[in-house]
Amino acid sequence: MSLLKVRDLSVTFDTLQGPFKAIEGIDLDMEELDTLAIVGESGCGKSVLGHATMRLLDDIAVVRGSVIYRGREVYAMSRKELLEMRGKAISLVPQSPSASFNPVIRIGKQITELIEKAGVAHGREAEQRALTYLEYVGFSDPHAIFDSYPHRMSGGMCERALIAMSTSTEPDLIIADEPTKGLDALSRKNILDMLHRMTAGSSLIMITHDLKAAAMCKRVAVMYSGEIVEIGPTQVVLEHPAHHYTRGLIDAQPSKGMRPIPGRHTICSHKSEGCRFRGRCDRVRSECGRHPLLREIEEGHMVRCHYA
Amino acid sequence: MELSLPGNLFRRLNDTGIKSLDQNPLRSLGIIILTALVLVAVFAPYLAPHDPKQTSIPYQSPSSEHLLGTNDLGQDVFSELIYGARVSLTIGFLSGIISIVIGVTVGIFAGYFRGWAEELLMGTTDVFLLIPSLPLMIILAAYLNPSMWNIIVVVGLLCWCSTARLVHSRVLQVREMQFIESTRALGYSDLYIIIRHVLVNTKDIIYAKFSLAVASAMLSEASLSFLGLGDPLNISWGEMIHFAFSRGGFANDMWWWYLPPGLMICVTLLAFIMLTMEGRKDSKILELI
Repeated sequence: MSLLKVRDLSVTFDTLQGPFKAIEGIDLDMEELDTLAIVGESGCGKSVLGHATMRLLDDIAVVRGSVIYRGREVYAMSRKELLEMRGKAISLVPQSPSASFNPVIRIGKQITELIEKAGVAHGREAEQRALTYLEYVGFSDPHAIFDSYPHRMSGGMCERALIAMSTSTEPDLIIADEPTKGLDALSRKNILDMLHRMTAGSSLIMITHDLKAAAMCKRVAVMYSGEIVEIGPTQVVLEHPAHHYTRGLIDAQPSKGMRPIPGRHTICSHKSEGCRFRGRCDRVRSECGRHPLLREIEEGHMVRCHYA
Repeated sequence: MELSLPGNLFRRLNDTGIKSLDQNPLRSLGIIILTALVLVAVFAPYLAPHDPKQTSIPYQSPSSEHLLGTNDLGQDVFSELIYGARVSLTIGFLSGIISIVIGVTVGIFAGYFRGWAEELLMGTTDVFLLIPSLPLMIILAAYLNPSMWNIIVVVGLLCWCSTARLVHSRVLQVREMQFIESTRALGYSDLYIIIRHVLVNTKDIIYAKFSLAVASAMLSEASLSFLGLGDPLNISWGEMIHFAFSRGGFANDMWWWYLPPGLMICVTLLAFIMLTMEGRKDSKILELI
């Protein structure tokens, strides 16, 4: 049985301009100990997908489709089951680490509370566990961090503490939302190494802009305008991309010549029929007026393009 | 890479805010005055030179025997003033607590849950705000028995609206903060998030508002009592002025009878307001006053 199965997931926000589909028709499968990177531009729906997987968007959006975690439908769970699942079975490492801790409660207390809430350990034991995890993420003096308030720590330190918190309950699946956001190259490398070390016993979904960070995962999914346009083993996708958007992303990296993708990411292009990338694709043909389906071109490698 | 921090004990002391007091003389003064008043109220039987109910020669001028003279029944005004602190402070604190509890509950639930709960709760608050509260208090106090407890309830039930609005707006701000979303993602229940995260980040406003609520409750009580709607068995400062007014204190220019309770009300209110003063002039708390 697979760990997580997402089927035809779509999220629609009600805006003043009418309904806005943030993601549409997302299918994903995660096995135990799998690692998946979700890459794409800002606004393509990466974070929405991460949040919808944990059913965090219920009250602000219309969510359709199904998310099945270990055979149980997340969208059919009772409130109690859902609260038990979050933080213990599936953990989210949210964006903006410094803002993700309560500013008036000490870091250690916040980690300890999560460990106690998840029922992993209690009292002294929970505190000890929090200290241990703070040490695991690379703090040489975990006691000082344990007693610190979030504003006393830098962004990178908060990210570490956040990863310590999310992993301290040993969840089966960790969704890390842009863990390297706003960090310089060196601390980015450190955080990524540490994240992979810490999540060695879990599955990981890493949402990122950064193809270098994505390269550390086993599989990569590329999202464009609310859809998955390409998904497959990392090496295949990053070295032999089948979709023109993936190729464009790779070519836009500084190390690969920094050629930007022409045109702009039109978020509201959903209304028109056809391939959503066709406005920016340099190989548009008449066929592109029809919406392409995600099809398998080789074992485990799927592409949403008529000409792949 | 970690910051080195000084010892725990020092930090814990600092966190209580004791250290910040020496940068805030106004607040320190407020605390000193209030502590003194509370001590006077608690130890009234030991401090008062006479039993305030005991009668002697009426309308005496201040003397060494009766520091502030006597009233129309020959009761010692100074002792009455000391016992009045008990009544005034009790009414102020209890009404303040009632209004704060109602206001904070309404504000937090409306702000956190939004939707129909917000419409209903804030709509009710607006209706309460529309009612001119002093006339309503006068009507209620006049129809209910004149007892201290009725005054506490009447004042408490009519003074929570501004607290509810203030807390509501702060909660709207807090609930959109990233860490609330993170806590939701970690699977905490709404009630837990409200108590542990939202309330904790609203407490500075609640403390300040409580101080102001007690002050305004005392003022409302003084107004009601001055109009003769107070509890005749528990004489507060407002009632002392009422009796001084209705029984010839003003007419005979006996300032030692009506002035001290008025001054005590002013000083107490001032102390409560000073308690909410921030050292910095640009503080958000100042906007509340």
